[in-house]
Amino acid sequence: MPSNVEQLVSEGAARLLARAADARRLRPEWAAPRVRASLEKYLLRHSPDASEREVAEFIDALRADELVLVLACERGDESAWNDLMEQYRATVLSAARSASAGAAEAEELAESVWAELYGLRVREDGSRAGKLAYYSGCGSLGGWLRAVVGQLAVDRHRRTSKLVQTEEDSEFDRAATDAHEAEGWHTTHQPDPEAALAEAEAGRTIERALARSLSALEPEDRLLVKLYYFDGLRLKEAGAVLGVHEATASRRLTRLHGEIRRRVEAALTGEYNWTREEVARALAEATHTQADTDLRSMLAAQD
Amino acid sequence: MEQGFDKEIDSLLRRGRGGAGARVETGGNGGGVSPAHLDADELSAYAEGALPSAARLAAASHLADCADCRGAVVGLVRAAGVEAALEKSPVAETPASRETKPRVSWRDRLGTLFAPRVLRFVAPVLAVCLLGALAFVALRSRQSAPELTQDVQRQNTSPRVGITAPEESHKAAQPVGADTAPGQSPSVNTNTATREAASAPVTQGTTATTAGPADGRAADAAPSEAPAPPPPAAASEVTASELTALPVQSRAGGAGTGAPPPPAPKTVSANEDRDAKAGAPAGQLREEVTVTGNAQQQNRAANNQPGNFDYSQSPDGSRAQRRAPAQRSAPPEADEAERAEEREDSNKEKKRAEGRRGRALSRLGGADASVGESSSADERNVGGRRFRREGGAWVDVNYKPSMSSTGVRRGTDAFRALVADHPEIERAAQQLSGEFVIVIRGRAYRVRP
Repeated sequence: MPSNVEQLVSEGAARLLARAADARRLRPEWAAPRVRASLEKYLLRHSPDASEREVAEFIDALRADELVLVLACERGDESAWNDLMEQYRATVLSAARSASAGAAEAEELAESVWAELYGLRVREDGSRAGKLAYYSGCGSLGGWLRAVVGQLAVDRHRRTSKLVQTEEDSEFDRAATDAHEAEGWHTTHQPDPEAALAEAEAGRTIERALARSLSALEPEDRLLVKLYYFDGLRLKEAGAVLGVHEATASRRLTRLHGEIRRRVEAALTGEYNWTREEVARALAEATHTQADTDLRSMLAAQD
Repeated sequence: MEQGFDKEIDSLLRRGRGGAGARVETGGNGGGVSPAHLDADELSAYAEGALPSAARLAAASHLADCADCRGAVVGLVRAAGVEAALEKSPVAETPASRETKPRVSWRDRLGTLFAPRVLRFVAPVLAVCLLGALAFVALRSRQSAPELTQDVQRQNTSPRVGITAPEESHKAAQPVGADTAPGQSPSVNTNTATREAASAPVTQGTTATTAGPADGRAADAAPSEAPAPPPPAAASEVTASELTALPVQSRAGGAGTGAPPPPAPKTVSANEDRDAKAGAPAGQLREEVTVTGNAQQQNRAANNQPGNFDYSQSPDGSRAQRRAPAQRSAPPEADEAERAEEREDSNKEKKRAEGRRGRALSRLGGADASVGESSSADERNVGGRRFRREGGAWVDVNYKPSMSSTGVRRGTDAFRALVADHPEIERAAQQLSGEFVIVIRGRAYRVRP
């Protein structure tokens, strides 16, 4: 951490206000704490030995207009509140609509978001304890509002579903799951119980090896695999999440196939003492069962 | 095996997504992953790619093992993508913009047509086409001349002559055509006019007491034609004579006779006349009479020889009277003409629509081919339906531009109502991001983000 962080922050805050189209009569010293918090959260926590230049660059990349608007709102500037409502009402409402089941529910959700933003409690220093305090200025205000709406919707959903689900329901669920599992066991029950058992054991072993090789991947590589295979995203979307082009994502995925295979094979031959033939046969079988069971989802996802 | 697409690992991973997926995911959760979920600010900053690299990596390592946060980020990325797309093109793929698309391409094509290089060849061709079209319009309208003679003869025939009438009319049409040399078209008109004029007194004479010559003729002609049943034959004869007369006329017109191009309704009235002939004979006569009357006026105008008319009609001495019914019956005829025009218009409309459809289909076919050539990246299969990427939207392959389509936005009440009726739309909406068009029971639904 540079020794003159305080100075860098106050200078950065002054530049931030100067960059904003309308500084809304804010003083640099009011903006400095928020700038400092963002810096701490996104830069210094992960790279404590960041250089002065990196600190200055981070501050200058903050969204000046949106952060100033939020800061002014927090200080009780009525015109800032009006501007915020006016500029982001549609964003909040559309996010609420996509997160809820009905129009009435969406309206209600949007209302509660505004209440949370405004903050019903008042802090000791007179400012309101609203959610706006958590906006860092790193991403866009619109994106942040969308995320807030999404989280609030999830919270509400959890609360209401908890209320709805009674004791009997969960009992019923458990019974159903038990029955399902028992049934599942019976259907996989082969004429030759030992062979079936061995096959199931082999399947579990491969699964464990796969899980271990996945967890050993780099975070972004693992994320790509999860997005593509587990969440069923298309390569283009997965690339967009990672901030890379579709073609890059495709190349990366191909490379990952090789890496995962190496790791899985190494785990199977090394830790589980499988022979190379056994490994090859097991992987080929995986392909066959896959072809039978999941052909449709394969077709849907293979684009 | 490590280069290129590894099918075995691919299917292994796909299987991991299913029931065993949860285990694989929790298995991957073992490492030193921060247990705390990402907050709204981190989620949105990550989705927008606004985080410094170290923070980004930390977020990615949580996202890789947390399906909830991943879902939130994916939602934000999609929303941001939609917004970006909207900002880029405010009217993103509305029906109107679809309409303008072909127009733009047409303009481009026209642009290439008018390149000087091409213009050299095209200009003369266009000029010839234009001349041909003008000649056709001018001549088509003068069909009334042979028809006129035809009508006159038929009305003129007594029961005795009735049987030979078609023959005669044929002859009448033929000589007219044969006689007509380029530049002599006025003489044709005179000819027919005099023929008709000569015929007029006969009918007039027989029905002097009737209110008007036109009605009288109808009354007169009806009994005369009733015994001999040649209407269908006569009708076919008429069309035949028209056909033979046409080339002659075009020759005359092509030579550029001074006759002004008559108004369009005239040609329609000729058509109408033909229609009427094909129909009931009783009504047919009235039609013929009115057409004759009309044609007389037209002839007079074209001829500039009113003397001829006056002379031939003077024996009756009631020219004014004679003309009156014809004029009186003109309005219904005009009505008919309008209707016929409408019919023609709608026919044209239909043809144009067919042409459009054909073009659209061929376009689709072209798209098909290109998709087949390139890859399957522009096609998806959702719930047994195939969708093709077209202009930023997924379009059901069963969609045709002629289908009426209903537009809905995702997340609206209308959308939910629609999904309640057709669950397949929801399935499609889950798998297809952005805009898509789905066809259900012959109806198209355009779902916008």
